[in-house]
Amino acid sequence: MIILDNVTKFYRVRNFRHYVLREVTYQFKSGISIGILGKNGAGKSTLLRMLGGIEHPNIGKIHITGSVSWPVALTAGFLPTLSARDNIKFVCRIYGKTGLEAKRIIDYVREFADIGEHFDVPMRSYSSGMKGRVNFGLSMAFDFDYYLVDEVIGVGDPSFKKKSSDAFNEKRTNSTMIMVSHNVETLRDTCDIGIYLHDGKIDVYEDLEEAIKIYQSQC
Amino acid sequence: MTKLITDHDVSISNSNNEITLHVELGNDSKHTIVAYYLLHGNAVIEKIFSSALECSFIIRRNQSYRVKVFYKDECGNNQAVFSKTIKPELICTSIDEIKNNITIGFDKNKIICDTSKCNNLFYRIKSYEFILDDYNDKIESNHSIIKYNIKKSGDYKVIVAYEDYNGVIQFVEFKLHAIYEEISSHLIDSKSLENISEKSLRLIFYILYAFIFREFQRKYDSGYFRYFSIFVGPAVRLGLLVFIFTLMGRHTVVGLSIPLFILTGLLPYSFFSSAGNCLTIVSGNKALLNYRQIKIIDVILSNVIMELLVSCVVFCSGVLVCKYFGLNVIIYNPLSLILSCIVLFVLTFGLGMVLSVIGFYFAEFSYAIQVLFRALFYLSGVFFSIENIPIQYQRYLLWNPLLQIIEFIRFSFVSFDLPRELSYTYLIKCTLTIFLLGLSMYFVNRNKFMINDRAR
Repeated sequence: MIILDNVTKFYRVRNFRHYVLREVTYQFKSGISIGILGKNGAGKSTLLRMLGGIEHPNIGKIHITGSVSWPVALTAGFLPTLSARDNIKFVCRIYGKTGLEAKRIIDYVREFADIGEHFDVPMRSYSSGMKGRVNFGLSMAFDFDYYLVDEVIGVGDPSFKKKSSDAFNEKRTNSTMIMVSHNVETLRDTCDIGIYLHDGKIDVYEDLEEAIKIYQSQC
Repeated sequence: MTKLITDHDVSISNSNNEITLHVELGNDSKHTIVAYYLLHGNAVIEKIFSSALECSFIIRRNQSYRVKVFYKDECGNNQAVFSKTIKPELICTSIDEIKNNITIGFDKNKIICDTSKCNNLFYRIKSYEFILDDYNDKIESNHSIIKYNIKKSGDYKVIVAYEDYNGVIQFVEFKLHAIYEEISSHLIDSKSLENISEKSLRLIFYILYAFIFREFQRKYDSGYFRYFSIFVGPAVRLGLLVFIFTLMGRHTVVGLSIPLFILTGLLPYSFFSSAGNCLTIVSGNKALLNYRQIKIIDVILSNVIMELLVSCVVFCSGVLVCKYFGLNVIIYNPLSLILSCIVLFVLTFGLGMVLSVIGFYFAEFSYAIQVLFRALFYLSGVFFSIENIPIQYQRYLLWNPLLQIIEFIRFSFVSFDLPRELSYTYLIKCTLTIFLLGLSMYFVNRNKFMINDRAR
């Protein structure tokens, strides 16, 4: 469970405070997948990073119980001079996975990303789509209670789209998805309820369609 | 030469839902079976790699089957032969029997549906449907175990759809009363929350290990020459300085032979100046902060530890080389040596933290700081000893803690007493000040490292 407890978050832009959240209290229940909608720059990614415990609110507290994934996005913390294999090993190590478990993860990602010989080549030669494949596969190889997904589903060619949405639906049975996307179709596929983020407030819509309607009329 | 296997040698038969295949080979035959493929038309349904003469497939569908047998003949060429086509008559299992074999359970806000016991009683699972009042959720999946998170209490209806042997879709229906337990925020005591936010020591160890390994790969793993270069850089600098000193006609400085004298100055300096790398550490590792457990301090610490390891290896091998050429190397004061190394480590770590914050806010300063490090090379006694300096200027140079550390390291290699000007008290005070300054600067700013550049 992730609880936002009277959270205020702002950025200082030229002495003005740009509010992302203003005194928000909300409880993200486990088991209910949430789609976050909003304009560009409304602070969707920032909200996602705060839920992941990476950024901290200016006022208030965020309580996180259970394991939360890193924000799965196209750009990841991969070192360009290392190969995908070495980067994955690194991530395994920082999550305390060694030996057979690490080997299982590497095999899974290699099969999932399906980038052939590139898997053992330094990542600077990768296209952004290939990086996204590796990052998405890597996040699917771990078991998190919460997945934070930032615009990564629905990239790549049709076969990968199919594969990723299959993997995603399988994960859905045990984990909760919190997802930022401008692609309404992917949200419909995955999410149960919708949040529309604007002017430092979050509007929660129990019916996702309603949130999408508001989003499409406003943006 | 033995004759090739023909379809007369391959006999196929079926009983219940098993297809058995038998290959007849002559006594003197030298063929070896490689694989059996189960086919429907030309589509491969299942592959078995085996060299046995018999093999059986479990089938779950009423359709025509044939088997392709791959084998190698005595010359090693790949050959294949098809069996006759058969169409087994499978009798569909009754819905009631399947219902008895599916277990539906309930555990911690989850409905668990397990169909693994009746895997062979039908062709495949199509979907699971969970219905509460007028709300329904359909999960298309062919997995045999599924866990479904419920959001409300109530009488759930679970419908499992499967395809039977004939390809007809059948539905099995279950009823289940499930209770949703609200986990309210009040039930979570603050203590358990703290435990989660605290990193266990074990995790810190894992992270440091991962980082040191990664830094090594990044810096040195692009060919053997890079490993070699760990030694080449210091060796060239050391060689040049020794050469110049020898040209000047010096053979010992404060009782130390020239190579050892330079070595004890150069390596502490190069280790110390590695703190300069921390200027770009925030911008360079920002993407890594996406992993929640990684903090910038882990990166700084692992950088310093790695530099320490490299410096120690180079220093020890330098000392061994000196010893090999017959120079007198005796550690007279090991405690002083160890203490100086610890102080140097803490000082470098503290400075690294200071510089990481400075580099984050004032990226343009990094050039000035590089110049400062260069100046330190001339001021820190890398190629002179404090004893050589006129007495009225010594007090100014002694402000420099690095000079004091280098002198302490040097004087642990000679038998006579330390110069009175050096002071452990000053050194430790100075180091602790820088370390605590670095620590506080880091802790004040640590949450800002992740903030977008646009909102700095």
